[in-house]
Amino acid sequence: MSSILKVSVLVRLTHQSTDLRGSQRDFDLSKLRLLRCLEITVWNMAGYSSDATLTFFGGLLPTIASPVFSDVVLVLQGNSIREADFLQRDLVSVVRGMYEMKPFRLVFCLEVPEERREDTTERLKTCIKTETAEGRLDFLHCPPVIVYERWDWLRE
Amino acid sequence: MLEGLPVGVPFRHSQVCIVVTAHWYPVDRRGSEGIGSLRSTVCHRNKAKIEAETSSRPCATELPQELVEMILAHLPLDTPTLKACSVACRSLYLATLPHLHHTLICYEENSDSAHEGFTPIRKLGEMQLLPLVKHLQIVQCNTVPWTIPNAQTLVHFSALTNVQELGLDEVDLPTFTPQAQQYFGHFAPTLRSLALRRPSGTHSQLLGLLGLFHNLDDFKLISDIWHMLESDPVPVPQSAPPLRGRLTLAWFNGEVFLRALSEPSGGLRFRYMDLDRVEGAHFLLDTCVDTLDTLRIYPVFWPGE
Repeated sequence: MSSILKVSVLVRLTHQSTDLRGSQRDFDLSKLRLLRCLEITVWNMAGYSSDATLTFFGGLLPTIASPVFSDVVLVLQGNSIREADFLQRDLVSVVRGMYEMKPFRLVFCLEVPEERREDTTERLKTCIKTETAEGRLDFLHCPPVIVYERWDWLRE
Repeated sequence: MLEGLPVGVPFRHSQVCIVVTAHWYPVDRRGSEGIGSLRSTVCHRNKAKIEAETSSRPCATELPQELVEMILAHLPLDTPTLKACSVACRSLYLATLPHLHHTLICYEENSDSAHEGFTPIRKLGEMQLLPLVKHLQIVQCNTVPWTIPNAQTLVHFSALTNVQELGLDEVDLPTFTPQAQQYFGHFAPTLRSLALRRPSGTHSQLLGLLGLFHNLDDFKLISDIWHMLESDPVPVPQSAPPLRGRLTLAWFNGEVFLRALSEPSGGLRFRYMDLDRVEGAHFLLDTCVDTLDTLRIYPVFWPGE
């Protein structure tokens, strides 16, 4: 593929991605009759903008019409997850805003290399415990759940 | 012991290990060199007491193998513990084998030793353990395209009779697809999952590769801006794999391909989708309205915007 073509494809995909990210039309999930779980990958969590995120989810969550929908999974992946990434103040407020749009069970999915599994899980548990003790997760109808998924070699 | 474990609660591996060794180590001491930390859990115990207990406790061989397998089923990701268990006694050795050899990863490290990456296949082949392999990954560690195995390695490939998941890195589809039948055609009855990272070629060549595996349920294609497949006219295939499982696509610009893939069966039926910068995402969502259980999205805009 020539570089001109690649640039052309990049522009097209970037445009597509913009559509995927921002447009209610593109993320209309109302037809999905069996949707149970929405997984959202969370990268580079420092510097959240609650407003932009909530605007996006405001166009997405209300379209979910599946009677079996229950879980929103925040996927934390990679080698470089830091403690500060887990439950930032902005993230909690985003999750609260999302919950007000549509109630769900909050699940944290850790996708980290096996050797970091135990350590990362423990640190996330500690963060959740702290947040719960401070009452910042009181809006949830059940405590958050932590699951682990093996880090995918394809993403390396 | 296992019945009491709540589902979904993180399982502490050490609990199993301690129970296993405390009961079995005194019975069969073979492999004591490799037992490592497990051995230490019992070494501090009084030797005389252990000898006395041995006569009153059931022998390892009396414990039903299915119970042994149930215990080990909780350790599929814990290779060090599995290795330690495998040298504890024969029952554990047999039970750990399928877990230890479940995944086989071949690394192609450089072009000078292109076929040395297949050494693990040859070694397992010599030990006649290849039928235990269910997940085969061929990973590229440099920029040279994936090398097709030579005749010597091909002999061992034929012994891979139970591969359910196949992962291929940087496959050059124009050269690989025509010969894929010869190398991987015998995977067709068992193969359920195909993963490709940064393949090169066209969408019609990709469709040709998928057509080899008529029982395929899961498909992953992870690319990037520099490795996207070229669009070409994609003929509608006469048949296509069922694809009722998981679909993972990243940097994929092949809506025409997706439509062609869905034609033979009148639609796609994925239960899980992981879509990152995918052209044709709307089509995918529309065609899986009655099957999609989980959707993964990448709202990459949200930090800082």
